[in-house]
Amino acid sequence: MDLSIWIVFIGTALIGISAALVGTFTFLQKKSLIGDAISHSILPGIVLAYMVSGQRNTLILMVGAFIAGWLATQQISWLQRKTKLKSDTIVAATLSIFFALGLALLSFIQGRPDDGQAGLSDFLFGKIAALNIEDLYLFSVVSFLIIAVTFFRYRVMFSFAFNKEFMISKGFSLRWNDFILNSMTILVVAMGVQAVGVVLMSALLIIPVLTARMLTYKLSYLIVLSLIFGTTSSLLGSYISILGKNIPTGPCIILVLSICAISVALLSKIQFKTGKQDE
Amino acid sequence: MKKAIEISDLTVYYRDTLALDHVSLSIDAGKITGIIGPNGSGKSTLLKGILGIIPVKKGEVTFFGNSLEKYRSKIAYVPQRESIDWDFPITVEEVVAMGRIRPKKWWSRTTLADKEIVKETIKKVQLSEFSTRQIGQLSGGQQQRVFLARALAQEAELIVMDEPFVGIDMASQDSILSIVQKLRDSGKTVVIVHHDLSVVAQYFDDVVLLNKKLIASGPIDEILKSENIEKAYGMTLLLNKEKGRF
Repeated sequence: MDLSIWIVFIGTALIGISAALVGTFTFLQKKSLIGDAISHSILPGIVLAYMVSGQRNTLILMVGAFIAGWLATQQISWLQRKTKLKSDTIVAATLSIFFALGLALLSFIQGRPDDGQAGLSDFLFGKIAALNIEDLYLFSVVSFLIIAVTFFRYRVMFSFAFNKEFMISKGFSLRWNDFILNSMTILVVAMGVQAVGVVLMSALLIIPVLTARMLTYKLSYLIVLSLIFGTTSSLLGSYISILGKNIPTGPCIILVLSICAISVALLSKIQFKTGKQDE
Repeated sequence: MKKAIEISDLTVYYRDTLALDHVSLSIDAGKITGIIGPNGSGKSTLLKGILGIIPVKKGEVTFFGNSLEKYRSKIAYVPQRESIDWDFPITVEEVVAMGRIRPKKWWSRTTLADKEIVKETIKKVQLSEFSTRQIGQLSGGQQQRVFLARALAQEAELIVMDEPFVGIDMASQDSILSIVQKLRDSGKTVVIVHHDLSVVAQYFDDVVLLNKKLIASGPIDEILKSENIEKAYGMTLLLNKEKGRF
């Protein structure tokens, strides 16, 4: 196999691993919808970063994505503190506003003659074949960061997800915990949109862990199974998308994931696992 | 008598609604104190306010003369059962192990000593055979004991419990009470939020009667007079002191 195929596979695996890890904790914190909001919200960031820099450099685009994602999460938490609106309303509104802005900017630059091969529309549905070796270095750094933070903080994040009042009473900072999880989500989304696209990115966060949850109630197994589902589906999906030439990567990966999830659901009768069934 | 908690002028708002109105009181060390009042009287708010879980508008709180920040590591908080997601993928021993997490450590891991303490406390509340069960698979009384075990694992001096007797049977109430009494007898201070007047006398040494404002506080015989109850609950009740039932 030539180098570019390896780049695609390693890149996909890194995305699958990071998304499954971060997704496990957003799922446990009942913040799956935030992942969706972030992935839609980073679009204007990516497009603006491209317009300002004039090139499709993954690092610059990720910086743009990070800023936009961060603004969106700030807007969500600010509205949650200051208004009586329900959380889902705030998240849905924020998501749409940022995404609309992103789409408007996208159509604006695509109308320009210098757009040429920028291929920014790939960010909508994902195109893993566009990855190059520099992207891979960047992905490795981001994945390493995410794995390291998860390793050192999983107990705190897990405990916060279960009982945040208790953690606050012990002197842990809720805002710091939220900041870390949000930052990890933004990073993984900024990385993952290359493969899956902004529209489907949240599925890559949620579906591995919810599939795993049907099989276990233990945190360690939950993480391991999410990693297995997330990574293998990403690899298989991107392989299919390369074989099929014109099929975007995102839908392939998500369809493979969904087939996993549906099979597991049928086998386990759509029950979340609890202790008694072991006996 | 040494004071475990001293509260002065505590005022808390939930958005625009006044939840606690200039409450000042003190709680004795080494006793079981009940915080009693009708629903919505601000009992849980009082606990959350003094522990920094919700923001307070105004007021000072000290714990054995210390600020909350200084004393925090010696306080164990047992939340209300409605605030818990019983489907959450967590086992009995994982809940109890939360009692051993310490803040300000960049790597939070369980030491061997922690594991030993977790095992011992689970044994103390008689749940050893359920250690690896998911918490939703326990009875109400067992669930409450899991959270009591987490508080025990903290090896705290002050144990603060929000409605620990709600939704559990009499036998479980008694077993929780006997653990709480043992804690008191070993010199710990226990504060319990409780809404039901019927068993007050047999559970608590002291009571605080609350209804947004402080109605009365002190030893149980002095406080449970009908005029106080009337002020707190807005009705007249006959008190049978022998049984502590109304």
